[in-house]
Amino acid sequence: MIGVWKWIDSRMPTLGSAWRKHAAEYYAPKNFNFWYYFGSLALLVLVIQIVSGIFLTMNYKPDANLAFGSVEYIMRDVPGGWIIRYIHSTGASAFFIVVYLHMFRALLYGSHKEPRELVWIFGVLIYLTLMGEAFFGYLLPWGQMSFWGAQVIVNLFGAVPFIGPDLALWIRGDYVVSDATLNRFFALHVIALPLVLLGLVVAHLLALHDVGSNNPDGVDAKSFKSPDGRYLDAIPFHPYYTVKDLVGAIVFSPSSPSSCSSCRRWAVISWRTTISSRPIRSRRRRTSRRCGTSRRSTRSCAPCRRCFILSSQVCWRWASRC
Amino acid sequence: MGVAVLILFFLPWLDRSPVKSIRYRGVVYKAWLAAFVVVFLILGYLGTEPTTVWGQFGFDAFFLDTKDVATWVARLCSIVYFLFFFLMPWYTARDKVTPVPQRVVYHS
Repeated sequence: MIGVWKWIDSRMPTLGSAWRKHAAEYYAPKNFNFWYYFGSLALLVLVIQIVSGIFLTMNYKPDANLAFGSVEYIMRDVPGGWIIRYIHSTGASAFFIVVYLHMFRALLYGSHKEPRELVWIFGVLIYLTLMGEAFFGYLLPWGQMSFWGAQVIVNLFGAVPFIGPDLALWIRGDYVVSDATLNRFFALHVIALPLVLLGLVVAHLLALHDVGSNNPDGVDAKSFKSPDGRYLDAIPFHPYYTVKDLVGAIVFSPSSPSSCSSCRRWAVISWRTTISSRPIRSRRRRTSRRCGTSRRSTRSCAPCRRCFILSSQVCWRWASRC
Repeated sequence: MGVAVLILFFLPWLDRSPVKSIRYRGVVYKAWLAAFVVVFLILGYLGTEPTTVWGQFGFDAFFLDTKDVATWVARLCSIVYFLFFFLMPWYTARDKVTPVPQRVVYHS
């Protein structure tokens, strides 16, 4: 394994230096808190959206006569198609929630302020692209809601002074929302905007890594070094924050709105159980006694519980090895 | 509507506070931010509902071009939304700030 890595590294040192620059030797302030989960979660949701979108595209037909039927086909006949579609539509809502919380973090801790203006501007561009992506995707099921949604939003552009009507015509590609509109929205939703989005995310991260991360105190975490030359207030992104973000990902994915409500509580509780390495049963009793919650409210289906405990244990083992 | 999003681009220059974190900002910014969060949520909710969702005013007034309560709430919220940005250079510069520590602080 080490031999393979040396073989690659001697031919393409860019790979190793990029890893060091952006992860192993990217020094982030040591006092990140809860609000700093949402950047990594936004990236996670982006990956989920891309992967689920790829699978939806395999069975979707961008044609005014076939689109609605193909979505019904995905929902009823394609194995697992219904959940892929729900992941994609719920993920779209989750994306906005996560991005809003990510932006609110900036308002809380002044992350948009000098010297991180470019990071903020790239972020707003990502947000704009995301809105376009959501708008174009909304038309694709070709139902009543999609049609009238597109009608209303395109007419908003029609309200622009002077060029409005021509602008609306140009966006639609027709005098009404039609097959031409559906096809171009499909093209924009599936290839054009995702490419823009990915490019902007890379720019957002590169701009961030050039100036360094802000923190809840808004002070420069790299200004103090120990006598042996190590940062006193900053720690390497990997492994410290990769592991922290992994915790966020594990807690977030089952607590998304698509999962059942009893599982949502377990998403947090089972994780805490593992951290304190206390048997589940006693943990449950403690919870019910201390907080006065009923036994019923902390119960969930056994497979879900086992799955959470297993995944958090794997994560914990990996974290302690690093 | 376009301005509501585009104004975000100018946020780094609208904010003239000498400190970054809310931990060391004064009460004025905190109050504006809280108001912004509230109107953001109200506007988000009203955007999904018909304008009659909160009923209609029972009286006539010369300024009422529509009697829908939700429309008026949304208008007031929009004003607060934009004031948060347009007044930002003024209230962030005037706001009282507390001293910023040299190193990061743990609040565990």
